[in-house]
Amino acid sequence: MKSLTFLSLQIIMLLLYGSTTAQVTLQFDHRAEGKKLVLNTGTYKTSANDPVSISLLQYYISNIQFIKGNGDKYTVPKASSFFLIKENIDSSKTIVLKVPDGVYSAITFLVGIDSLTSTLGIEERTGVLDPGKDMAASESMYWTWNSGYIFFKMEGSSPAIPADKTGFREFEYHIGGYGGYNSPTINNIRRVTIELPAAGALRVRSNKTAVVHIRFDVLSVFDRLDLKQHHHLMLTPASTQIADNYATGFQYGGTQYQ
Amino acid sequence: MSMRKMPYIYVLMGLVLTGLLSGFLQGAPAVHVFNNQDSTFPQPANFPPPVYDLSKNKFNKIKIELGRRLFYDGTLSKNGTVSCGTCHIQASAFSHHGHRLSHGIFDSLGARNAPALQNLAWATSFMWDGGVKDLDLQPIVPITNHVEMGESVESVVEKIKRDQYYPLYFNAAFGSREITTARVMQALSQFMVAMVSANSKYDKVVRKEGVAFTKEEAAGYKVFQQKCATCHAEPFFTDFSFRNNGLYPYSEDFGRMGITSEPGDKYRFKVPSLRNIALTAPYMHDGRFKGLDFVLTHYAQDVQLTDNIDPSLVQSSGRAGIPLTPADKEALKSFLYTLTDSAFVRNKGLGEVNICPQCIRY
Repeated sequence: MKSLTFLSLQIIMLLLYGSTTAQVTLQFDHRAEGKKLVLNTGTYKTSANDPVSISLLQYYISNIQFIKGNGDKYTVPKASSFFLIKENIDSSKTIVLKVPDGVYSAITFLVGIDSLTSTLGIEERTGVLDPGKDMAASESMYWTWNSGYIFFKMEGSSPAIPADKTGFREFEYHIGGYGGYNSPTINNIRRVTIELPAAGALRVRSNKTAVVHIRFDVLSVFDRLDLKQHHHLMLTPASTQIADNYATGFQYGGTQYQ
Repeated sequence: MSMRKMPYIYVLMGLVLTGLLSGFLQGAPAVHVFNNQDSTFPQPANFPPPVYDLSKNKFNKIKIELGRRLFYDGTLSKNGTVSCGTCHIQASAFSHHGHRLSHGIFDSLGARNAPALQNLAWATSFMWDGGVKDLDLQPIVPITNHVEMGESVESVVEKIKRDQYYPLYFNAAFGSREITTARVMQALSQFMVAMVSANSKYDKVVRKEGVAFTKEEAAGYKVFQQKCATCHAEPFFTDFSFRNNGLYPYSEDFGRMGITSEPGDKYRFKVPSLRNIALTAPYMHDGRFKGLDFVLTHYAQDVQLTDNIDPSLVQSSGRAGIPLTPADKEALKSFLYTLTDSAFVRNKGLGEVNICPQCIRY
């Protein structure tokens, strides 16, 4: 009798909500040379054997989808699908989502902001999309003079970079470009798909919280770049190489169930 | 207190607010009625409907007054000394008369000439290079530029929140005291959308309001239609396109190419409107020409065949420029003077607001 009541309750819940959901956390782990990234003091070697250190790393993750083996997709509602990951703020590296119960074989997301959102009216640009955000801290992710979001920002220094007029050897990669408002320009929106291993499919069950680790190898950014030339890249054709690079830098890092 | 008395309190609060606002906005025309109802956009009969989406930011006189106050408030700059109105002076059709390049905080010099602000509700892009496509996003550029106002929007919002009066004005304009990036920008764009210039002699002639061109002006209009109107298209006297008009390249400013990274956009700049041209010297993106004579001489004999020169400036013989006789030039000038809209530059509703001394912060 008891189980029957429970069953009918579950059926009512199912009717009410379609299906039950559970919490899934995406945990972004920034790594260099296989270890946790250390800002400023850590020095690492690029694939071209140039020593680098990194002082700032932040990027947008948006338009997240969970994909089942049969191709069915769950798309995180647009209104709650924009996240700004900042290396210096631990809480920002944890994205907490509600996902319907099921077994998923892949997770996909954009690094950056889709073109439609890039042209939204200002009244809809709130939270991490507020173009006035973080300007005081010089951590703004918005270009004012060429309206658009900066998708990915990484800064640091390397002795391989020629000294500027003030003697500093710094790199600044500010990557954006959503394809243009009405005349085509650079498009640096990249979709990353994390395939989960067959044995490690993501099992979302209402009584458990899953924490999926996504590793980002920050040194991937420097692949096929010549630091002597490419130390300040923003909205120029060379920026697409960086976007291609970081899109390959995201890897599956295991799942924990709590 | 009984519930029945509550509505009176709201009415009373409303009256106090209205009083505060109207007292504050002394000098505004008395016809302004301060209620929260949407006002009607002043659509000129000889203009198409506006490009700016007024459905998202309803035309509202209280918002305009708030935008006007923000426009003239130095608080929007880092050290309180520079407002939008510093480089956009009403008497010069909101350009920076006499200044080749715009001036910013700490006597910094900008890289380009501050353009006139007028008929922005019809503009399809902003800045000399068109880098901004939405008027609501435009004010962020000068506010954050280090050689203009040098401030962050975040910090502007914080300063305004702490102000004694602004939260009240935002409440009156938007229905709550909340101050956000979006609200600050929308108030500023409302004020800029209200900058409609359509009452020049030219407009009155075109609308057949009982005014006629003189012989000289009519001759100039003909020259204009034959030789200038391709780019400076009526009724805005710009087609809002980007073109290389053959200026000698003194600097590394490549104009539109800085936005699109396209070599085909090198040296292309936005075609500026010729409305109120008599008031907006100096001319060109770098303010290189002090007067209209210099401009006409440039088009007649100094056009340089640089990369991406506009085809309309190359004659069939291959010669650069627009053939203009001395008589053409004089007639053209007479016509261009008919584009001055003195009602626009004297409109009290667009004028500088008296800012209370305690509101000026350094």
